[in-house]
Amino acid sequence: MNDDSPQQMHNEPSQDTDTNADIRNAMTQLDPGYILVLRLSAFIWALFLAIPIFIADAAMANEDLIEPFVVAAPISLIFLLMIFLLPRRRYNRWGYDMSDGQIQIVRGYLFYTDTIVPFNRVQHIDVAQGPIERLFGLSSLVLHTAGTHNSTVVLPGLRREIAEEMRDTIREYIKADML
Amino acid sequence: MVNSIDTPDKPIEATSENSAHIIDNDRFHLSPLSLVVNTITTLRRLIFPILAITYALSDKIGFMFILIGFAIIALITLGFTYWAWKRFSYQIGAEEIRIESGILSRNARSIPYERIQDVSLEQSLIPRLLGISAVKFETGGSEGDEGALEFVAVDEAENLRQLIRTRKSGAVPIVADTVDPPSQDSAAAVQDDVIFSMDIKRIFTLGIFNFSLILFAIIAGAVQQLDFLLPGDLGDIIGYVVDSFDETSAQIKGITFYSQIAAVIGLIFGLIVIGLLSGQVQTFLREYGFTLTATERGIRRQRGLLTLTDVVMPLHRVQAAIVQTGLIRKRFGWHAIKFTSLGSDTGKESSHMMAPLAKSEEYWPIAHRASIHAPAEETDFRHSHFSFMAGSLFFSAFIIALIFSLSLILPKTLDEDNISTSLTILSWVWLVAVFPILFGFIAWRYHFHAMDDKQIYVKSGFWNQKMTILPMVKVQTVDLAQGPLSQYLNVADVKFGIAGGSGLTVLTIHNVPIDTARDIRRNCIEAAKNIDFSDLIKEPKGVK
Repeated sequence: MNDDSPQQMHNEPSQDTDTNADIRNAMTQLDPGYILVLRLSAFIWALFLAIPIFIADAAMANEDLIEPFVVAAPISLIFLLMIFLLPRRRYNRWGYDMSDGQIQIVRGYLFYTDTIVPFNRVQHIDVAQGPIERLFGLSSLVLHTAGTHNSTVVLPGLRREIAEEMRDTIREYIKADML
Repeated sequence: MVNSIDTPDKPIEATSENSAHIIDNDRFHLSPLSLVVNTITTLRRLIFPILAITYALSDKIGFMFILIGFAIIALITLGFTYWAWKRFSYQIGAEEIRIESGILSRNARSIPYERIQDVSLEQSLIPRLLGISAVKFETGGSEGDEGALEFVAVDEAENLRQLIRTRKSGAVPIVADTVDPPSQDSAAAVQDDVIFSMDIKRIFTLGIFNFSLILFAIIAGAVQQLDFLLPGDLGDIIGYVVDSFDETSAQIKGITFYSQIAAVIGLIFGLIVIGLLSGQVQTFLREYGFTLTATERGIRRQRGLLTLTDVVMPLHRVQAAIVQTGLIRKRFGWHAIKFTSLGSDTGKESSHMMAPLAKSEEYWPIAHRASIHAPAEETDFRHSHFSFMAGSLFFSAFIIALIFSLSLILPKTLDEDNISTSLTILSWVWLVAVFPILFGFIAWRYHFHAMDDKQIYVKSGFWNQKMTILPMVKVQTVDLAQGPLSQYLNVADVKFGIAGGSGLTVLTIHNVPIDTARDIRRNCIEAAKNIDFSDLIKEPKGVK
């Protein structure tokens, strides 16, 4: 399951009625390391939630209220899905394309969003790095616009150098535009 | 360490070599004195929890322990503050300011000078005593402070401000949305002409449409809230009255059937009077003397009976126009027009009311001044895809499923007598499921969109009708959003990012075929690319 390449996933769009696959295939993908970032953060969340659930499960089983693992087992299954299945699918649904004075960002598995930001509408730019991202040398590019909706547009899972390169390109554009 | 300069107003050379800040690779750190301020701020926030804990534990542990604990907390705070300070640095580049920050999550922010609208220096008490100042950059985004340096030495702060003002070439001091009333000389200028005003009769008409039971609600609410102020016996009296009413209710039902009807009619009549009155009061208080004048700086609006407001709306900052009407007032040709702009209107309104009650020959000229025009006669307003109703259909299905399962469960849990009545009630509750479908259908029928070569039009609402006119060039971002069903049906919502306006209601064209959605977006983005945002909100030069 984990070994199939992103390309293979894209060739089977019928799996999840992925009507936007053709558009996304023409776009740049995030760094594959982002799958690990998603996985690790899902793991940490699951760990936080699983410990009290397992304790509660054990306590209730001890009191003969439930059979052991009646609660913990299905929840663990959900956690396993969230750690092993979802990150790759979420990763596959990300894509971006920078060209011609604009950036297009597509994202979302169940709820799909396709955003275009013209560079000359960018107010300021962040290159942000969370602790897990730093572990894998990745960064997020955060574009701030004056719009009330989409005041921040986030593109995660970029190699730090690439994020900085993109930042500089966009900034150059703002500068060139004012001349 | 800090060379405090007594006259910060004096412009200082834009080179910053003279001030004593710490530099590595042209990265500047904040003044070390900010450590003091930040530590104090954090400790001040912790003081109440600490006091609470101290109080709770004071019996169990000695005073020394509390003191030691306090010292440890202070040390940890200082440590973290130092760490954050160490990580915080800023660079003054040729075209941008770059700020790097963060202990665990790191952030590198780049703010182009071109985008900086305003630099403000802020000094509260402690920073002032220490001779340091906060520098805040505003970029016209919608989040408030987009960049803040807390804190740098006063002379360095002044340097920075000078530097940014000089580097920001062609800088125009930005005019706030709600500027102070124009000074006397401009008020005296004769060329200011009134473009729209409302006389008493017009305001009275508006008051009728503003029929509201809000006053009634306030009175009722106040009575309930102030219950405890009423004499103690009153509750008993009411109880007595209710009791006696109960006893005699049988009689009343029989004898005074007509007087009951009269009472109900009287009540309804009374409510209508209250509603009309409160509508009039509200309207007169707010709209009395409503006058729009065209001034050099934009459209000036004056209104109010007790609280006079005087606002200038610079036209180049208008982002979109909203034409509103109601089902009834539309019959009379009355509309309201609002402008969406950076920043919000006085009070809670997110858009700027330009004419609350006007005929089309009155409000379109106002819109024209902001370069927004009416849709042409032949404009093709289109419906959304019917999947727009999917949400309300799902909701109805949910209600039906709920009622169905209840009607299965109930007979088993209730005794014979109650079953028939509860089933009767349930059979009526089915009707509830009709409402979401009805509302969904109406919302769909009254949601339209259209596009011409310059503008996007979005209509919505049945009782309160609203048409938003968005010049494409004002678009910030455009999203295409699809839920699972939309992905399956190949339709998408088009969501527009606009500067200003309410953050709660995003301008959205719901459920249009994906190709149409892409067309709309392409046109908007192409238009937006042609003009930079900074130029868009700049006051046009040479235009009178």
